[in-house]
Order: sequence, then C-alpha cells, then structure tokens
Amino acid sequence: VNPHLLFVVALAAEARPLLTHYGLKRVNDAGFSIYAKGSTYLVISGIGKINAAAATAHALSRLPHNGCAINIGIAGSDSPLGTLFRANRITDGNPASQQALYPPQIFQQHFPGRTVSSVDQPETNYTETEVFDMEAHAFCTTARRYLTAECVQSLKVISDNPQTPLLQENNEGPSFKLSKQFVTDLIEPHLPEISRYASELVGLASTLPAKCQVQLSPDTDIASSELIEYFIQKMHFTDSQEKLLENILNRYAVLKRPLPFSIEKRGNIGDPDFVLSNTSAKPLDNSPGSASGLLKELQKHLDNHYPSYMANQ
Amino acid sequence: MIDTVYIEQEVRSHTRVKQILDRVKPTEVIDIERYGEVFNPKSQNFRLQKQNPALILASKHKNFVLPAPPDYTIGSETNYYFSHMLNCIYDCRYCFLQGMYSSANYVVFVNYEDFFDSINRSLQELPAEPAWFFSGYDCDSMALEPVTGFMDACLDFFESKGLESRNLGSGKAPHLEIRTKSTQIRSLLKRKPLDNAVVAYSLSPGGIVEAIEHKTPSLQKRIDALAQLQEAGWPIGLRFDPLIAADNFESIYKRMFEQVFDKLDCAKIHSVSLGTFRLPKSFHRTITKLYPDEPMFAVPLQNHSRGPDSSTMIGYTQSLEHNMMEFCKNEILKHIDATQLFACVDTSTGVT
Repeated sequence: VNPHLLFVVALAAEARPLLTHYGLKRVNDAGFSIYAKGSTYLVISGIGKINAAAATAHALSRLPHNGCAINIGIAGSDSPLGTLFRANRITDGNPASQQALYPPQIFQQHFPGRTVSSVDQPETNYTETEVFDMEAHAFCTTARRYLTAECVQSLKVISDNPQTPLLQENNEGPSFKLSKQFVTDLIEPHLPEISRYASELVGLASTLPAKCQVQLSPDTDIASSELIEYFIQKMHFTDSQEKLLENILNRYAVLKRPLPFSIEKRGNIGDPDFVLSNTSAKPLDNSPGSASGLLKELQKHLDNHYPSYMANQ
Repeated sequence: MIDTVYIEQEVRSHTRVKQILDRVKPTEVIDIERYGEVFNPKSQNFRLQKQNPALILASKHKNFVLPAPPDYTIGSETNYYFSHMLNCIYDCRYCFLQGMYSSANYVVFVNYEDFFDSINRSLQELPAEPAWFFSGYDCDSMALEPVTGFMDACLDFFESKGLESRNLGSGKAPHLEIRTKSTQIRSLLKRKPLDNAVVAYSLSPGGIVEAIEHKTPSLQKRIDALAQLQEAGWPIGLRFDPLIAADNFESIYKRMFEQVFDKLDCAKIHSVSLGTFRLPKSFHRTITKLYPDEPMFAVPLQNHSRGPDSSTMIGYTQSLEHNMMEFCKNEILKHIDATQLFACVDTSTGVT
C-alpha cells in the first residue's frame, strides 16, 4: 500500500490550486470537506486551532497510519508577499506556554525555514524571524498522534507584512480585503515546489518497513498478515498463540525460509483461500490442539536456522 | 554531511559551538531552549531520522560520570562510563541506542570541562585501586572527533592525571578506554601515547560488518588502524562484542580471529573482551518494530537476567551462548594469554 499524502488547509481559496493540480474530487463525508484522488487527500479545516485539530483528526482517523500530512496556508511576517517558508519550529503563540514543536528536517530543503507562531487572533507585530498563522501548532500536535513526526510538516506563504498589514493602525478592522483570488494567487506559483516537497515526503514515508512476505512456494509470496488471518479463521488460537504465530511467520519471511508444508493459494484477490498438504497438523480441524500442533511444526523447522553471512570479506 | 544544527540558547556563544559550526557548515541553524525539546518527543522515528540526522549542541547539567554495569570490566572493580555525545554516526543494527532514544539526531555536550571536573570528584572518593573510565558507551568515541575534538581534550586531562599520579607516586592514575569502530585516528597518532589510555576497537567478521554494521569502516580498515596505533605505541584492546549467531558462525569468526591476530603483536595487546548479543527486552521490542525485516532478530531469543536497571534482558538461548563463547575463547587463546582475555557474561544464566 502506497503511503498516503494529506493536505490540511484552512480556506477553500488555499485549497483551490492544490485541488486542480492533483485532480482531487470531493468525497462524501460529514463534518469537513474532504477531497481525494488515489492516495492523495485534502481536507478544508476552517480558520483557527480548534478547526485545524478537528479536521486533521477527522481525516487521519480514516486513513492508514503509514503516510504524511502537510499543512499549507497563508501567514504574516516581515518578508515579501508570496515568500514560501517551511516551519522548522512551531509555537502555540502563547508566551506563557513553552511548548515548541520542531518538525524533523530529514532531506535537503529547497526553501527557507522559519519559526511559525500559531496565534489566536491575527497578529500584526511582524518580525523577520517569525511567521504568524492560526493553525500549524494544532495541526502538528494532532497529526503526530497518527503519523511519525518526520512525516508531519507545515508550509506557509506570506500574505501580509508591514507594508500590507492585515489590520489598520490601532487594529481598527481589516486594512485590505483578503480576497479569495488574492489567496489563490499566492499559493499557485509555489505548486511546483510544494509538489516536489510532497513527493519527497511520500518517498520518505515509503522507506518505513512494509509487511513481511512469507514464501508459499519458490515463486509465490504472500503477506504474512494474510496467512495469519486465514489460520485464525480456520483454527482456534488463544491471544498468546496468535502472537506466537505472527512472530514465527515473520521469522520465516525474514529468514526467507520456505514453510514446512505445501500450501497453495486459491480464491480471489482480497479473499484468498489456502490448501495445505504434507502436514501433520490439521489446520481445518477446529479442535483445541490443532493450533498448538501447527505452531509446534512451524517452530520445529525454524529453530536451528540462523542468518548466514558472507565469509570472504 | 550534517544539514541542520540545533543550538541550545545557553551555549549559543560558547567558543566550542563556533568552532563546531565552522567545521560542519550547516545549511540551517535552529535555536532551541533545551535539547530535550528536539530529542525526546516520542512521536519520532529513529529509522527515518537515521537517513539524515541533525546535530544538537547542548550543555549537560548532571550525571556526567556513571558507574558502569557490573559485567563491563577489563579487570578492575572500579569502573565508570561517560558520554560526551548521544547517538552515533554509524548504524549498527544490534545497537541499543536505537531502542533507547526516539531520535537519531546527534547530541554533543560542549561543556567538556564539566566532565573532567566530575571525573576528578569521582577520583577523590575512590579506593587505592586505579579506576577505569569508559568512553564510547552512548556514542562512538572517535567517529565525530574531527568535528568535536572531545577526545583530544579528554586525553590532555588523563595525561595530566597520569603525570600527577607519577609525581605523587600514588599509583592511582585513572585509566581511560576509548571504545570505537572509527579509523579517524589522526589526532591519536599526532600525540604521544599514554600508558593509562587504551584504544579499544569493536570487531566483527567482515560479512557481519557488511550486513549489520552499516556505515562503519570495514574490518580490514579497523585492523589497519589497530596496527598503526600499536606501532605508534598506544595500548590497544580488542572487543569482540556482540558475537552474532550465524549458520556459518564458526568459520567466519575463526577467519576473523586469524585476520586480526596475524596483523598485531599479540603479546602487546592490552586486553581482549567478548560477549554475545544481548539487549534490554523493551529496547529489543522497539528495535524489532523499527526493523521487522532484520534477519539477526529472526532467531530464537530468550529472557535473561534482570539488567542493572532491573529491566529484563534478552539474548540467545543458554546453550547457544555457551557454545559461541566457548568456541571463541578457545580460538582466541590460541593467540593470546588467558590473562589478557575478559568475558562479558550474563551471570544469572550460568553462561561463562
């Protein structure tokens, strides 16, 4: 299964260029608007920390735990409008809270990193070293409950700065209208960089170990999890026997040892059936002893096998 | 080699931090309050971070020097260890660091002098017997030496303690073991050897180095480094630890012992130690989740004694351990005297 890629954005205007670029289509779901194509997803959260956390959890709880998530959105800073930054430090914008998050930087970066402060209200005390947004911290904290930190990142495009502040002097209302088109136009030019970055992140997630394959015959392998599922359906395993079966089949897979009995895979993809022969265990017999018989047989044929290492080094 | 460097605020203006930055030339420097903010969060993946670890420059505040585990000895009863660095540039699949830390980033504590002050304080509380201090427990002692220069400073300290002891005629000079797999030995060859410091190499058969000890120098390069150091007058140690179970165990280990001992002056080897693969059970669980596809973990393992921190240790079956240790001891004793050999054993299993 390919690792999934999830974009979390606050506004529909931020989402629009990504939806077009990736060809994402709306999927029916209650609560938040989710778009998808293949293993790429996008959820529109709405503005603010609570929305960001809820949308991230909503989307990631429906996806496998092997993937990555990127928060993309506009932000304020003392930098030129349209500049793209990568969050290398994320604070929750509350000076009393010291809890900063540091998204691990695994691969060579093509655009600069900055501290992102996720504030509760629009902030216009712009600095050059800090970027103000309203979602990154909540997104990151939530996504890390589902995915490993390396695969959770945040990218920000500058939409307001001291020359084009979001609020008027004395904070008396907005100084200019942050139109939908203006926001879309800020994100769109960065699609090539965003897309390359997302591919690298998916590539990183794909280096996480895949499920082990057990050799059924010299030229047929099967995920050990599929075989475990089959045995559990056919025989009665206690919890500890089930764990032992998983452990033993994993060892067969890793040591590339053939199973000690003939096994033939039949049935349909996704609903396979197996036929076992040349075994003293009775896998189709649901008597209490049959699982332990199978485990004993599997273990006996494995216990004296160790990896072999090159001798002429 | 290192793209990202995190720096604790407390050491931002430390001279050593500036020197290290000059050597590393990172593309990104990120300021942090304390190293734990980056290093400790649980939701990190050691395997992914190992692809490109960052460097964290920090200050250590306590526990500079700790008592070594009871089996960790080369003859003395007073043994300590210290680590100026957490994590290692190498990627050995059996390494306990993968199970202990959630981050693969390197932490370097730049307040070296505090380590030496702490060793000094430990020495004042010690009995007459010379104490051993082991470096390279939570890291490789020499692998990042061109960047950190720690070992050079450490050897200056142990040299001064040796001189002090000679002048006082106390015979209490502390001894240092520099445990490494690195062939970055230029700084050692540049200085006069110390008789109270041993350079100890961890060695494994070439095929195991290739398959399991990723990013490390080959066996042959380590042997060459050992020969150079011995030639230069440094006391050297050989650490065949961990021994790794293999279908062809006897042939590959026999061949390695021949390769190693043929190249060295055996009578002048300070010490040889050996021990089989073992890990705290909780670390083993973490590591096998990170590397479910690693053949060395797909063998029968069993619970052993309680470790020093009361954690259950896991290792090979007793009979296998016994056979591995006996075979290696017999082979090694063809080359050296029994007084030079020390076995790290799990005493509760009775395997010696």
